Amino acid sequence: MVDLYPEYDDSVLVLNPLGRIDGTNAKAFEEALLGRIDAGDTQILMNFEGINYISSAGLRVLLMAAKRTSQSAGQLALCAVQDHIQEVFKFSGFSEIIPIHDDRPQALNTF
Amino acid sequence: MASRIVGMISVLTIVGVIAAAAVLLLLALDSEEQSGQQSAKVLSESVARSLLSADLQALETADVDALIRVNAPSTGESDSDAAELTDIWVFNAQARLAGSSEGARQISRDEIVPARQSMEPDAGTLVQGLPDGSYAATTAIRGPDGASVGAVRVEFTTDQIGTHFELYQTEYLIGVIVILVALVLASWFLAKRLARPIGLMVRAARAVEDGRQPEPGVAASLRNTSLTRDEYGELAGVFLDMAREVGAREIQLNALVEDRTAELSEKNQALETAQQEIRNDLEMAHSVQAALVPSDLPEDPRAGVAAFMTPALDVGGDFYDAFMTDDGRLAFAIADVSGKGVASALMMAVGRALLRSAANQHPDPSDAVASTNDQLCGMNPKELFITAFFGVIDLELGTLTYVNAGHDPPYLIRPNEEPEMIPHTGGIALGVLPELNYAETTIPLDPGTALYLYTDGITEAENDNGQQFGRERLEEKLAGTNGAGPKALMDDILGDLRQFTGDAKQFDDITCMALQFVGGASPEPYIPGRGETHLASGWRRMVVQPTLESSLPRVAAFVERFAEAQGFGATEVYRINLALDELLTNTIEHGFPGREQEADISVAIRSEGDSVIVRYEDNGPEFNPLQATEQDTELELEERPIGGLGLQLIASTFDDVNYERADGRNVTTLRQSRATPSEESD
Repeated sequence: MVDLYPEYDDSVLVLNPLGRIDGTNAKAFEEALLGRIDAGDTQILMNFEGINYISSAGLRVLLMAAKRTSQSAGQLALCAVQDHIQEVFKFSGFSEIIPIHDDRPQALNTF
Repeated sequence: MASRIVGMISVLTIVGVIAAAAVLLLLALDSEEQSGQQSAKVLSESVARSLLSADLQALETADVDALIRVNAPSTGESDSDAAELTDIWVFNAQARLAGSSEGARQISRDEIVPARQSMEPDAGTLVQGLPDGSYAATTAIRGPDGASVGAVRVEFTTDQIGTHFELYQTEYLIGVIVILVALVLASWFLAKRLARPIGLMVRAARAVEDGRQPEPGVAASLRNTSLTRDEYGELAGVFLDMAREVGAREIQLNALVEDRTAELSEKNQALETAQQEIRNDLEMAHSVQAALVPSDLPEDPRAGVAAFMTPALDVGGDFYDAFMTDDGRLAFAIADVSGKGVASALMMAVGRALLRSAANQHPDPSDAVASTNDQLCGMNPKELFITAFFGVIDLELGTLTYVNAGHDPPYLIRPNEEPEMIPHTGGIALGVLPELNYAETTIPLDPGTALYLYTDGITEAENDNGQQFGRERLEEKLAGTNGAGPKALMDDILGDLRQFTGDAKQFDDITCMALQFVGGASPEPYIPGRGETHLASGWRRMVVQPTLESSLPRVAAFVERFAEAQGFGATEVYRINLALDELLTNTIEHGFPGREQEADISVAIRSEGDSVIVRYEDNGPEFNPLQATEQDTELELEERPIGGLGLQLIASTFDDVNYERADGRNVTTLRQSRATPSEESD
């Protein structure tokens, strides 16, 4: 079970996951995140402050979420991503398609 | 008994008969006397009457002889006709002798007084017994006017009466004897009759006493007796009822005794079987306990391990363990399960297995202990608990990380220093409360440092005087062993302990373990794959279980520990983990469909100058991650396929990625330089 610690800032759903997202919990992460989108939340900010590891399985879930929100004219963005994780977004090219912001206020301004 | 009653009744009867005969005899004698007196009275009155009819004047000269002759026959009317008239006296009105059958004679007062008395008005005939046994009767002679004109005295002997009795004596005796015999016979018969039911009852009672039913004849007679309406009948009836009751009870009792006896022997049998089973169980538990302590301890030149356990007579629950974890560290534990017996031994077996398994699943000892505790709490119906010390020595780094769950603190013996207790981490015993967090502490180990672990079977061992070996003595002995190897250290202490306890009984398991950290390089150069040349030493390697849940966190911790030791930063750790994650996920998800048990996956890592080298091996089907579909990272989001991304990431994050298929194994080697600030900011 993955807890996303959801909160709302105006119309934006802010999620605050903690720890690792890897092959062991990617499926639960996918269900939790896509469940939110299916429930109607399309403006989503992932606060990655508490994430210290994400594997490609986790990246794949973010990619699916980004596709779904963009199909619904919404947006998925990340903020406060730790340096070593930011690197993988860069290498994978994800940073080109999922906006990554330094901090939460800056990110919320883009919605 | 019956004969005694008969005898008694007979004697009583005889006594009674004799008494009756005596009474009869007396009555007979009395009646003879009575009749004598009566005769005298009649005689004298008859004489008086005949004298009255004569001329009273002539009385003075009466011919007494004639008178007697005239009157003699009249005496025959009585029974005493045999009486002999001996004398007749006639007195005048003045009581002077008028005449007698013997003529003139001297008279005495004894004759005059009755004559006077008889002449009193209304006086009758006076009869008196005379000293010679004869009788005298004196009667007044009264005129028509009733006045006395004189008196007559008649004397006669009573010898006739005695003769009369003698005459009938024989008949009396015969009668008495006949009556006597008749009575004796009658009483004998009666006694027999009375005693018979009692005799029957005695026989019947004997039979009942012997546990038999009364003989049919006896019973039938008793039944007949019981029909009579007297006390005997009642007694016989009651006796028959009682005999029936006793018989019935006897039968019931016998059946009960038989049942109980059978039951008892059955129970005895069951008890014997159960005892044998318990003995077998104890023996089995004993051998289980002995078998569960590892017979072969890890052998590694970088550390020495020695351990010892003697179970007490009852099965206890001490155990120790020492083994190499999958990632090449030396894990060890000593523990004491509360209580004794089979339950404790089983708890010990479970506890040891759980701890060993947890040690491989959780890189941090605190997590391993917490997990063991949770599982023990879930399977602890007897509410036993385990005090345990669990530690892991990183032989590469020379560190000890440990958790103390309520166990006696072991000792640390640094070279040339006094033994010191290893500070407690404050954990409570295992199996008490679930979901506890256990604190762990890490301390550096200098080469030559020894550890001594023990259970209270050592410190609480007693000598014949009831003194305990105690912690002080243990510390003293440990100080004296400074510099000795683990085996010598342990044997020294055990020798001291034996000397102390002598022949005293061992109450508890005695368990101890000594370890010594030697340090130095890994002894055997790691051979990464068959048919390859040896690589230089310095590899750290772990075997990976083919499930993501167990392998990913362990690999991550393995990499983190390595990186920490080598001074690599978060970026390197992340890159290595990401790469291993992708490789592992790929292998586990595609390499062994349905035959995970065949998987042989390992990760090895070493540093070389500024670089880190990671070697990943699996025995799955040939698969080159470098030839995996290149993914265009330039594609628009909507056009990107989901998945297939990971392996491509590896190529972009490592400086050098090499794949080869060797001896049925996929071997992927990754090399990366230490991340530079410029690279980070790139």
